[in-house]
Formats: sequence, C-alpha cells, structure tokens
Amino acid sequence: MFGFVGRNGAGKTTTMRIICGLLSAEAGSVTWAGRPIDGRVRERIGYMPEERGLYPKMRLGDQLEYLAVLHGASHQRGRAAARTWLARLGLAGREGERVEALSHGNQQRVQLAAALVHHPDLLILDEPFSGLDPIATDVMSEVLREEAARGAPVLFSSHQLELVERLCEWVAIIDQGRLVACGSVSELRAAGPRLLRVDIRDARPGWARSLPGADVLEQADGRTVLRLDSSADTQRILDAARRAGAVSYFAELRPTLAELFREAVSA
Amino acid sequence: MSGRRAVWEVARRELLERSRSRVLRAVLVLLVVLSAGGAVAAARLGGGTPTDTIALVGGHPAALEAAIRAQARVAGRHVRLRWPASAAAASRAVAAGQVDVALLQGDRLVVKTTSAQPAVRIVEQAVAIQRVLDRLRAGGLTRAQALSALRPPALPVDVLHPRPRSYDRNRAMVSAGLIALLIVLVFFGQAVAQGVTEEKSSRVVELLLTTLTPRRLLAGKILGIGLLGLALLLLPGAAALAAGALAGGAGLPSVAPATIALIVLWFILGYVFYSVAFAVVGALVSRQEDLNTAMLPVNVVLVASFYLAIFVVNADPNGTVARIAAFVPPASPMVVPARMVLGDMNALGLAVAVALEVIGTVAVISLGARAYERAILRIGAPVKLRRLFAGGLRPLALALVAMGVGAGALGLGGGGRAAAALAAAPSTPRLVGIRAGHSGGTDRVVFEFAGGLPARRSVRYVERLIADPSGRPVAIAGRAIVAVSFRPAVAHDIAGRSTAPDRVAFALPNVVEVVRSGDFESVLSYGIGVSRRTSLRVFTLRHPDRVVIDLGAAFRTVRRRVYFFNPGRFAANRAPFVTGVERRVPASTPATGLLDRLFAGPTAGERAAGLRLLRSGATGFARLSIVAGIARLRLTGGCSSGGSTVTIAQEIVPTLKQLPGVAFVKIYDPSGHTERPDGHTDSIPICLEP
Repeated sequence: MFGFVGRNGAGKTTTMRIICGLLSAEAGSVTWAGRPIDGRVRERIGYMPEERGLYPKMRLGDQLEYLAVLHGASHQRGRAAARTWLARLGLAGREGERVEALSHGNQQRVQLAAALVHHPDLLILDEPFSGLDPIATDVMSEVLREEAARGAPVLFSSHQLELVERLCEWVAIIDQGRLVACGSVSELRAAGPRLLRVDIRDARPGWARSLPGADVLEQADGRTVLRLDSSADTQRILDAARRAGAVSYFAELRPTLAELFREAVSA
Repeated sequence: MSGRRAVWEVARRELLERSRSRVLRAVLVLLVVLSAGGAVAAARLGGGTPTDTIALVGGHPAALEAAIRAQARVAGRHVRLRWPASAAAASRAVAAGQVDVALLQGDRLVVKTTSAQPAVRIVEQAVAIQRVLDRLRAGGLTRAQALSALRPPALPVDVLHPRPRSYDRNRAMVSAGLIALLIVLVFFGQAVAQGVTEEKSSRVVELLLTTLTPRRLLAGKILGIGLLGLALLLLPGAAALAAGALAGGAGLPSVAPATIALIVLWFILGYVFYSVAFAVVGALVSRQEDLNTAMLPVNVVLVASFYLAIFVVNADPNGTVARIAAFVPPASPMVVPARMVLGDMNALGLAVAVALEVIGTVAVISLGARAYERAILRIGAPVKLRRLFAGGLRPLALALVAMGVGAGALGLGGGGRAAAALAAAPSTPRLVGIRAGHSGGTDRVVFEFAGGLPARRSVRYVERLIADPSGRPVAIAGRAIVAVSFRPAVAHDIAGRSTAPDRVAFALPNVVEVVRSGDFESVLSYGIGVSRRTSLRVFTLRHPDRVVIDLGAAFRTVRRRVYFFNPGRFAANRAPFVTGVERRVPASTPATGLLDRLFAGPTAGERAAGLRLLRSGATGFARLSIVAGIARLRLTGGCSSGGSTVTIAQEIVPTLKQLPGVAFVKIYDPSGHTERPDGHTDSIPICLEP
C-alpha cells in the first residue's frame, strides 16, 4: 500500500489523472512493470476519482456491471462481481436502486465498488477516506488491506496522515509538483531529523541554550524537545540536563509522518 | 477491449437505459397510434366518396332525380335520395341529421346548418338545369338536342409543365415526413447533448475515460441514441404502411415506401452530422442549465433547414434555392427528400448530395471529436471555442469553401442539369425493340431494353390511352387497351433519335398493335390494343434485358384478309390498288376484328413489302352494324380524301365484303352522313370523294 500526500494543489490528483491517462504528461513518463503504461494496462486499473462520479439515474447493479464490462469482463461476470461487492460493502440486495437515491456515504461505497468490480491489478484512489465516518473508514481500510494482500498494489492519496501512517508501507510526499520525499515509512522516519525529549522538574530556564549540535524546538512545562544534528553527543546533553535539575524522562523521538510532512514541505 | 466492442457496450447502455424511459415509450406508442390512425383515416376519407342524403317532397319532374344524380357525379359525391311523406317529416329528418337537404315542392330548400353546402349546390344546379332543359324543350328541341346544347364542349388542354400524378398528396406526405424527421433529429440530437453533459456534470466521464477513449465513448453514445431514433422513425412508418395497406391501400400515396426510405436514409446522415455538433455543445458546458443556451446555434441551423425545405423547396422544388440547398450538408437532410419526391432531382443528384453530406460529416467529426476530447474533462466555466478548434480551423475553412464551390457548381444553372443529363443518359434503360408472337393460347409482347431493366413497371387495362405529357387521347386500334409504363426508361438516344417504333402492328389473335403514348422525363409509356380483355402476366428476363407481357388469347379465331393500299400497284396503274393480307380475328366478331386490324395498319413485314394504310384522315371507326346484308360504319377522328381517287373506302369495302353476311358497305363521316344511306348500294360520305 502506497500513500500519496501533499498540500492542497501540490499535484496529487493531477498525477493520478496522468497515470490513468486522463491527462497527458508535459514531461516524464509513467511505467508499470518496467514498461510505459498503455490502454491494456489502464484497463486493469481500478480508479476512484476525487470528484465522485456515477450515472445518477442508473441502477447500482447495471452501473457496476457496465463498468466491469468496459474493463473487459463478460456481462455475466460483471453482474456477479457487482452483487458480490455491493454485499461486501453493506449494500446487499440494493442492486435495483438508483445512485441518486443513496446517501452520500453509500454513494462513496458504490464508488469504491466501481473501482474494484473488475478485479483490478492496481488500485488508484484519490482521497478514498474523505467524508467517511469512523466505521466506514474501518471498512474501507479493511477492504484496501485485503486488496493489497491479494497482490494488487494500492496507491491512494489522503490528508489524514495518521491513517496513511497506519496503513501504508510506502509513502511519497509531493510539493508544488515535485517529489520531496519517497520511501518506506520506517526509512523516512530513520532519515528524518533526530529529536530528543528531555523532561526536567524545576529546570533552570535556558539550560539547553548553547548545547553543541542541538537546537531547541519547543520548551514548555519542563519539557524540552531538541533537534540534533550529526555532531551532537547525547551523553553530554544528559550531563547538561542533570546539571539543570532532576531528569524524569530522556529519550530520542521518532518523528511522526505529520512531522516529516511538515518538515518536508516547509523546507 | 477492442474498439468495436467498447463502442457497442456504450451504445448498448444508451439503448437499455433510454428505452426504460417512460416518456420515450409513451412517445413511441403515441406516434405508432397516430400514424397508423392517420393512415387508416386517409384510406377511409381518401378512398371513400362523401355521400349526401337529399329528400324530395311534393311534385317534381321525374327527370329531376336523374339531374341530381348527374350533378352529384360531376361534384365527385354520392347521393342518396329520400321521399318523405310531408314537409314536416322532411324538416324533422333534416333537424335530426338524417337528411342533408330537403327540397320542398321543387322550389324551396331546408338545411340544418350552412355546412351542407355541397348538397345544396348539387340540388340548386340540378333544379336550374332542369328549368333550362324544360325551356329548351318548350322551344322545340328534342331532349337529346337540349342535353347536347347544355353539355360544354371538351377542349383539348396542352400542359406545358405537367406535374407528377398525385402531386398534392405527395406534398402532404413529404411535409409529414419532414416534420417527423425534424422532431426525431431535434429529440435525439438533443438527447446526445444532454447525455454528454450528464456524464460531464456527474463526473462519471472521468471514470469512463480511464478505459475508454473519448472517441469510442462518443461513437457509442451516438450509435446507441441513433438506433433508438431509427426505431422511433421506422416503427410508426411501418405502422402507417401496414395500417394503410390493411385499410384498403388507397389511403397512402404510391410514393409512401420510397418517401419513408428517403426520410430514413436522411435521418441517418443528418443525425450523424447533427449529433456530433450536439455532442460538442454538450461537452462545452458543465451544467444541464447552461445547455439550452449552448444548443441554440445548432437548433437554429436545424430548424432553418426544416423551414427551408417546408416553405421554399415544397413550394418550388426545382428553384435555384432548392437546387443549391440540396448540396449544402446542414440543409441536405431536409431538402433532398423534398426535392427527390416533388422535384426533378435524380439518382445522380442524390448520390452527390449523399457524398457531400458524408464529406461534411467527416469534417464535423474530425473537428468535433477533437473539441469533445478537449472539453469533456474541463469542469467549470464554459470552454472557449477558439481553444477547442486550435489548429483545426484552417481545414474547416477549406472544407467549407470546397463544399460551397461544389454546391454552387452543381446546383446553379444549366451546367448542373447538363452534367446530370449526360451522366444519367447511359444509366437509363433504353427501349431497343418491341416484338410479339403467339403460342399455346397466349400472345406475348416483349419489350427489349439496353442498359438494364427499368426499375418500375406498370401494366394495366385502361379505358383510354392518354399521351404523356399532353394529356390528349391517343388513337389505338382494338377493343381493349393495356397501358404499359416503364420508369426510368427512354426510347431515344442522346441525339433524340427514336430507338424503338412508336407504332407497330402485329398479325396475332389478340394483340392488334402497340402504340407509344409517351417518352418524357425518363417515363416511357406504350399502349397495347387487343381484341379481348383477357388475363395479363408480366415478368422480366435478363441477357438481354426484357419485360415480357403475356396476354391470354385462347378464344376461337378465323382467318380472314385485311386489304391495304399498295402504292406500287397504284404507281404502275395496275388495279386493284389494294392487297389482302391474312389476319386471325375472333370468330364471334370478325367484322370488328378486321376493321381493328385495318386501322392498326400493316405489320413491319408487310410495310417492308410496300403495303401502307391509307387512312384518309380517319383514326378509327364506330357504330358498326350489319343488318340485312348491309354493313354500316362511321369513321372517327376525321375524314378527307385529300383529292385522291383512292381512299380508305377501297380498303374497307373488300375487307368487309369477304364476310358471308355482307353484300353492301355504307361508310358514314364522323358526323353521321353518307351519300346514299338507304338502298342496296355501297355508299361513301362526301369527304371521301376526290
């Protein structure tokens, strides 16, 4: 599972549209399994656009069957897959209803079914979690995990970074159309800045100033967060801390994805 | 997925989803019912004759009833007469609507409302004529003389610009067809625009375009909606034809199937042309609300073409505007059907118009598909046209110029007509021979053509043979006439020389002669004069192309001789100046049969041997009687010896005298005079004296 994050207007949707062939790239190329992506590969993509779109007056079953058929399935298999997915997403027996008659959340489920109904080899989902309640978010996460587990890579964008952190093995951060960070979550964290949290009761203010190789990020209520560079020596910082007061907590922090993200886009 | 399957799946969705629409189903049912009902009504009203019920009360001359019937016949109406006992009873019947007009005492009329005008006029004229007749008879004329004084003389009418038969009904048919075409084009063209906008505004297009190319999506949509439109045009058309046929067939003009085929052809061409334009418009806007304004330009062109066809072309199908408009792609779908049915547009013109329409459609598609691709994913403010067509405007301008030049060259002036005539000439079947023979109780007439068989052939018995296009009667010998017409066909070459005889006699039991009655505007017509009205069978043979007409001739015949003038003997002054040739004539009416064959003239072989028919101005005969050894007949069509001592009398007299019951022959002139009407002598009229 691959998370795709970036600020509003960074180019996430544009990138996904380019992958799906809706837009043509001004530069660069899209490859899949080492080869430029073409119509045959795109037929095997399951896409969920950010702007949700289904025929409002078409029945759910017919609509999903039609989309499956457009992706190369037979009518029979398309119909069966539509029924399976609607049941899996909690809409069993509602094949005959029109999309416009559904609630927003249910429309979102149908939209996911539309991306999955042809058993795609690759899933590209633009903001799949936006507008979902916590339970629906769990269902969506579960489904995406299963898809990834059966071997279909899932690429999705989201602003819910905790979710991305929880679900994804791989993350890319883009800003103003440029890729600013890309890698496995643990790699990124490891490559991120080293932070040190030191809690001192009744600390002498300014104890951390002029420590070599360490900048103060925040300091409040006896808690100090230091940002270390390669020249920093944690033992010397510990000594300085003990001189400042009684140390109750001393540990290196691993940055969250949110911190990495802020770090990346503010640089 | 293959492109064809993708297009079909899109079309299939359009068909299924749209055919679920209750509005569409209701419209279809309504159209089928209306057109079938209209056809039945047309058959009933057009086929049947209106009937007036007229009541006569009190004293009236007996001849009045006959006069009323005669006036009704002239007015083309049936009349039913009633004779109520009293004026009160007649008034009650009129008030109850059982009687249209009551005539009281021969001088007063009672009607319910003024709507009984035709019946009133019939009675008024009958009464007026009766009064004139009474006065003429009071002045000393016999009834027959009085009647003939009243009957207006039949003046021959030369028609300079003959219109095809049932022109007005064809025009009504074309108007109905054009209205249907407009409705279906607007309805389904706009359905394409709305479908495109729906996909764009609901954003579903983004999902579709991951697996479909815009062109396939557009093609499938146009195909699916077009198939529905075709169904909506064909089903009511078929219903009208079927209902018309069931209701008696007289209701629909004979051009109905051809007109429906033309309308359907031009629906397909026009729909593809306009639907692409509608699709581009649909892709330009993001909301259904903006669509109506955006569609306005396309709708204006469509409706303007319709009005052009209905008002300009329908009124003057061969005018300059009509000629040009037929070749302008946006207008062709409406104008060409009107010009084909009502005007002089031929198959070549149709082919050129179709070709130009296809070129125009390809141009619209290549531009429109590009515009559609660029506009379909742009959400928000309507897309500027210039951005869509960037790089495509120059080819568009070139295509427009080319089409304009083509249309001008084809449509204007005689150049187009001459080109059409030149190109049409070799493709029109040409009559190159007429043969006839007898075998096994059947006379067979064979018309042989070069350049293919005429597409339409009509063979039927008629009362009189009428010249096309003058409308004058054509003289033809025989007791019954078979009118034959071929279309398209000619009997002349490009220099105007005849390629087949215009009058040819045969020595057969039934077929007397074959006479051309018209060779005009690719309609070739002949009459076959026969001895008896017998069964007909028509079929065609190929290599060479022939139309064969078999006429029954299984009646008993006797062999007699017909005498024709022999100019060779006359020049050598060796009497007799006539020579007899053998003919088989009906055994029951040999004299009539002989005179028919005399007026038909010698056969081609006999002509080659030098025999001629000396007509002395006559075209036929009438009032043949043989009583007490005296044969009497009246010449018709004219009578003049031209100063010659040899006349038709020298041919008629020996021809009739060979019959056992004929001792003397008395020939009357067309007005019924002869020199010696009584007595045991031969007699000729004064006009046959030298």
